[in-house]
Amino acid sequence: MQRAGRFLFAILAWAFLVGVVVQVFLAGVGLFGVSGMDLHVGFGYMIVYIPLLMLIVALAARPDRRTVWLTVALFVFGSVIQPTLPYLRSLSPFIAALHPPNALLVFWLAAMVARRSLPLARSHEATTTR
Amino acid sequence: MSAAGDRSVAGPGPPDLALRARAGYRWVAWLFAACVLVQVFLVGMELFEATADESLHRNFAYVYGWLLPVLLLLAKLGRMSTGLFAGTVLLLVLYAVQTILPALSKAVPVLGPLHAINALALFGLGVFLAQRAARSSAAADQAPGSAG
Repeated sequence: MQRAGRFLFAILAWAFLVGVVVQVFLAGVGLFGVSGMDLHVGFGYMIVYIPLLMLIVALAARPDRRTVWLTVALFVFGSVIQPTLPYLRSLSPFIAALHPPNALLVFWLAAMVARRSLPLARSHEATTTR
Repeated sequence: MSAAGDRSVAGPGPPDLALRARAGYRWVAWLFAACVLVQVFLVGMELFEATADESLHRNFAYVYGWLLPVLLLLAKLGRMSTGLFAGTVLLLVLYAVQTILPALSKAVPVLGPLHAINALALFGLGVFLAQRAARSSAAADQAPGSAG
């Protein structure tokens, strides 16, 4: 169960990292007028739940504490704050403008979790005390 | 790009100038990553109409671009590992590509979105180099005979 959980956690972590890169590309597609922003918005709703799934899978995968906290941060910044920011435009455009830099933060967090997920997937023993 | 690959770590420890250059490299690399964040925030300001000035994003690029030659110089003075030096050169190349992508996209529109992807690469590589330099400095400090 734990081994399968760790394998799935790694798959989700890498899928989200790739998803963030694709999402930023789609933002560029919208910004440079190749297409509209619909693709960016639509794809965002496809990947936004992955960090939540990672948190659930982490219960079975039991990664080390640092990875758990990084995943929690990924969920907060990637699944809660990031999709909310554009809707705050009417309240304050300055707060909404944090949407792109927050994407960089999410990318960084996603890269750290993805990197940490590989040795986790390879390991067979529980490492909850690290 | 491991600390073990540092030319100075294996010897009696880097001289004072090299240690200072390494510390400087770390700070400048973090400063560069922070500037990329600000640069991307300025895109957001235009996008979400927090400002009407569309030149802010473009002009800010010229404000911090000079950090990269400084970073390269510090890498040389700090006798950084080949990996860190190559990473710094790559950062400089990516930055140069970044500045010409918007102009190129006018002729080849498909290249425009790569400007956004390249911003991710610039930020990611900047943070990566800053972190690696910190580990490299820590390893040098622990080397026998180190001046630090």
